[in-house]
Amino acid sequence: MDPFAQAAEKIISQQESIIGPIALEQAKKVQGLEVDWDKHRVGFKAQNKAEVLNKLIEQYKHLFGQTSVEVCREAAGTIFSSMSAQELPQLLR
Amino acid sequence: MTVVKSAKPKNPNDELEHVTQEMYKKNLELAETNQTLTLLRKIDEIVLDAEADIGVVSDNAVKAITTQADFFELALLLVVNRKSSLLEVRAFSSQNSKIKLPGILGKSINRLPELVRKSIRRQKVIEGSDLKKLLPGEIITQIEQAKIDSKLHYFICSLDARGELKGILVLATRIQSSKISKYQRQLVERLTRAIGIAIDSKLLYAEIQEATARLKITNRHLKELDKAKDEFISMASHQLRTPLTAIKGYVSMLNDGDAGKLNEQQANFADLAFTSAQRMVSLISDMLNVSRISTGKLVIEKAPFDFDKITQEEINLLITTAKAKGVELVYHRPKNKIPMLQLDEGKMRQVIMNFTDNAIYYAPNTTIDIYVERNANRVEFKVIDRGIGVPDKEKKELFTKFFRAGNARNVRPDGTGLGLFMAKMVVEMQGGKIIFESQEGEGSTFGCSFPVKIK
Repeated sequence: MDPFAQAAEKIISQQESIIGPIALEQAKKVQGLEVDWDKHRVGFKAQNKAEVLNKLIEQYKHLFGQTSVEVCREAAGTIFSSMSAQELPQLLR
Repeated sequence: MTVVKSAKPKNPNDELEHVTQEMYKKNLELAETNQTLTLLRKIDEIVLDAEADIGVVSDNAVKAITTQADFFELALLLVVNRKSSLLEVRAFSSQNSKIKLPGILGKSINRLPELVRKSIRRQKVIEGSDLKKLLPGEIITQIEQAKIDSKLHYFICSLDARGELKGILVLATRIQSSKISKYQRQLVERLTRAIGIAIDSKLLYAEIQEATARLKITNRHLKELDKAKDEFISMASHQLRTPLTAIKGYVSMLNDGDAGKLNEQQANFADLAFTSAQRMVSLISDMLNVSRISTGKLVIEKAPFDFDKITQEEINLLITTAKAKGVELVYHRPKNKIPMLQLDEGKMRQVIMNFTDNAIYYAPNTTIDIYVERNANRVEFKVIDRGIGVPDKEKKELFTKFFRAGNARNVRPDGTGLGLFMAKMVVEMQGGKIIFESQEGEGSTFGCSFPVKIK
């Protein structure tokens, strides 16, 4: 599975466990992100997946502050462990 | 005039943002607490699965840790082997299912690192990232071979129960030490307690199962032994009884002069031989009856029973034996007429014989008083002697099969330990009660009583 899609799915799941369905609503607002939550599938419409993922994290940060960014980092975990910092979304570096 | 500066009005949007972020943090706490409770409940479920052995419990516990709590990258469980007292690697789980430690499961750990050995008793949990200080060499090798992230932070958790080390739980997280929250450390401690209890419960359960299995085997052997003993007694009794009856018969004929008149000495010898044969028949009857009791084949044939008359007859049979022991048998006849009871005459003769014969042997050179009397609504038969008595600590077992009091064995080594047992069984099977009192060194009262049926 694509690491960005995997990370996005984990981030949304984790946020959902904390704030409930609002996490999904916020995720659906992110441009370039396709969310089919019935199948727990996340896809990217745009080319720059790192940027789209960053927007997702920003969405949560805007509402819930830095704590939510930490939650996103934890959720993403070791998915990007083999990538360089430049390849990662900024908020996960 | 004093000018009062008014407070700067708060920006509602800032206020809202602040509240929202605070609520998010509270929700995050709740979510983490929920995760902990879910994990602990899962551990409880694993423990309560009575069918699962220690291996399954260990496996399920580590899997629950890495799947239910994202915080833990991997979990490794070591359990103390009861027989070798060494720690054995029982289970391993990682969030990355591709990581496996194939060579480690079942391995015994000879020695823990010094830091862990020294600290593990005082502190339940030791933390660090330096593997050499925390883990034994055998495990470090496997971790390196599996290419597990070298930047993990480890928790070495001592699993204690009932004052003993039962195992060690090794947990690892990606999160740096400085960023691990108080809540996450509390989670580690709670898990340590829960897993410690889980492992101890299963080890105890395994011990109980083994002990129960051993008891069952022992019980089976004892039952087989008991059965074999009863069968032997039954067979031996039958085999012995026939020739003895013949001896008794011929000696009786000798006594009656059927082979010619006997001189005094010959008559005396014949008398003694007859008494001994009589005694042997009585002993064998006891053995036969005991084996019948054990197999449920003892039959009580009730008929009108004259206690006074039968007691006199049985005492007469023992006069010669009593004389030989220097014993005076004194039968105190009942003052009032004793009503007839419905009892098995043959078995009751044996009971009377047993009690009286015992008294003669254990109270030589004394007077033995025998009573048959009515006491309220019961008929009582008592044999009162001034003999060796029964030690207090042996009274409880006196009427059990094959038991003989220590002092009795010294006085009369050839007893079977069946007479009193048989007497008690026969009396109680007919609705009676045993009478027994004794003082060591002073004497005993043995007897029985039966209710008088009021018409």
